[in-house]
Amino acid sequence: MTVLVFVGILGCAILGVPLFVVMGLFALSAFTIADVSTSSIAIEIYRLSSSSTLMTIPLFTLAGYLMAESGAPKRLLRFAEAIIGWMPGGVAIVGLFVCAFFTAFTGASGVTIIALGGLLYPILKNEGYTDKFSIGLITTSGSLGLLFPPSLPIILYGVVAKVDINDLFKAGIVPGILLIGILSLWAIKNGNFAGRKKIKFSSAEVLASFKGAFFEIMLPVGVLSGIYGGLVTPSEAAAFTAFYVLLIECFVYRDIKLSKLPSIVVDSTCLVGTILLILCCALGVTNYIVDEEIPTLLFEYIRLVISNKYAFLAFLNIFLLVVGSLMDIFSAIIVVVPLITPIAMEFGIHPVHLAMIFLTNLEIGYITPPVGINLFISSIRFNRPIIELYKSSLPFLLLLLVALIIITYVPFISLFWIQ
Amino acid sequence: MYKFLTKLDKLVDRVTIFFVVLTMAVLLVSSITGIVLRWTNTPLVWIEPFVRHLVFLLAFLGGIIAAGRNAHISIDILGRYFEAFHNKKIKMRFDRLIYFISFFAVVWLTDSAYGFYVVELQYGKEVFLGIHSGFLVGIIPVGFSLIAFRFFYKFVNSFSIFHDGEAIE
Repeated sequence: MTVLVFVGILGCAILGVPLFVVMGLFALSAFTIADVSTSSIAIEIYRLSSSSTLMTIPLFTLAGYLMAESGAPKRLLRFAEAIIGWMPGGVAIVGLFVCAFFTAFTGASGVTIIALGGLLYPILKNEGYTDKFSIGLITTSGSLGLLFPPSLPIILYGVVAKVDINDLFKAGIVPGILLIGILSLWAIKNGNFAGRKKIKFSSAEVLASFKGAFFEIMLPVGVLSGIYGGLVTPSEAAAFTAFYVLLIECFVYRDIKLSKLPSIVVDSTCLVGTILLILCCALGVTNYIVDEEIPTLLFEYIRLVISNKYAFLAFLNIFLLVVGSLMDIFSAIIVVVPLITPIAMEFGIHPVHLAMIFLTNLEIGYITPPVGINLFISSIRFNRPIIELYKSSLPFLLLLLVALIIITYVPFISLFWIQ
Repeated sequence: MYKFLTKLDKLVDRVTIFFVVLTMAVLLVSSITGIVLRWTNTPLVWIEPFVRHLVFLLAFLGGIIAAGRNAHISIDILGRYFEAFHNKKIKMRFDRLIYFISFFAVVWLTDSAYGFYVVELQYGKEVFLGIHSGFLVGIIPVGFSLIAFRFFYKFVNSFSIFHDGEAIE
């Protein structure tokens, strides 16, 4: 009977029942079967109100949504193009950096592809890149900045795995640059620059575009120096970021009319609500998992098949790639992290290194067929069949896998700022 | 009956949107005020728990909005498959089943949260500004019941669309 119930719940998940409902059903059924009052789930849910880190989620999300709705993408593209647009492949690299910047603030919720896709596509085509390459690059870039602070998945990972968010922010910078670096080399290699209209480097244009995007360029500088200079905590930085972005986009650049503000607030809260409700209901499931000592049982089982750390890391990557292609990053973090963390600890993997492996896998999952979400967003955005998106993203997927292997087996990349 | 449900759903949507905007504005102002007061060594003790509960409230308000927009995160392998291959009829039947299951589960969650709410009203304590924890816990059953209503409305609405034939085309 118990097995039937849980198979039914798994069926609900595959069917497409909202994940918070699946989590809730799982917790309710598990507690009922164990003859524990289901009110315990509500107690766990209420525990969420005692987490001070949580306020970073709605505030950073609001900041990201405000920037996506403003003229910030155009201004940042202009600035980045002025700096490196002159070099072969420079425009594609500009695209990678600007997308990464945006994703760090919007949490790879598809906003990057929607906000920047239309701007980047004609620029890349103009530069002589093929249609396949341009669409592949934009699709991949939609999740590229996930490892950079103050990305939402990093914060959520810190909350769920109880790892210091400051450490995670620092740890993500080098692996994030590695991913961009590899894709940049690919962009340089793939350019057909014969008929390319040469862009000359102009210091006047650099200065003008810098002035134009000054307030937005200062944002990541301000956030990072504020946190690591000890001036503010990540939660306080989130409050300042949201307030600052609101001020500059509404009153300095005047890109967003005050009448449009409520709809942006509602859109961002909608995303926040979906994430936090999963987290709420997952707390009940986590409670059950811990009580039943499921991670310990899983570890003992895995130990029978896998004996060393490196084999475990390979298994972990394959597992997470599958998870990443099937599940949204937020739900994957909430569901899988409590199961994986204790097992990885037993194999001697540093929690921060594990976080980087985990997030890189999920980042790649966004473009992994058959159901990586970026593939679907691009398919709708560019009105192309999904199969075409699979083909366009494949080279990028393979390159990111190379980066993943490096991040997995060279922990130094993730840890040298921590240790 | 159907018209009444439609009006009620629209009312829930409007009221929720109003509270979302209000809560976010209060959250932003309170958190900035809290930081500034801390810097000036005149902190207000109640601001921190107040802000945390505003975020908690936002989670449910966002959940209510997302239920109305079909924006809740799901694995949705089958849904995407049918959408990609333009099989709307099957997709709609799956959606109906999803709404029904979601409604049933969220009602169950509401019931479990109500149990906790009753206990907390009796044995809870003041959290901040004289507000009793029982009232704060009340966010959970109220939030879940509104989400449940929106799933119920979606379920009922799916029949009306099906009969009109709009979604099949």
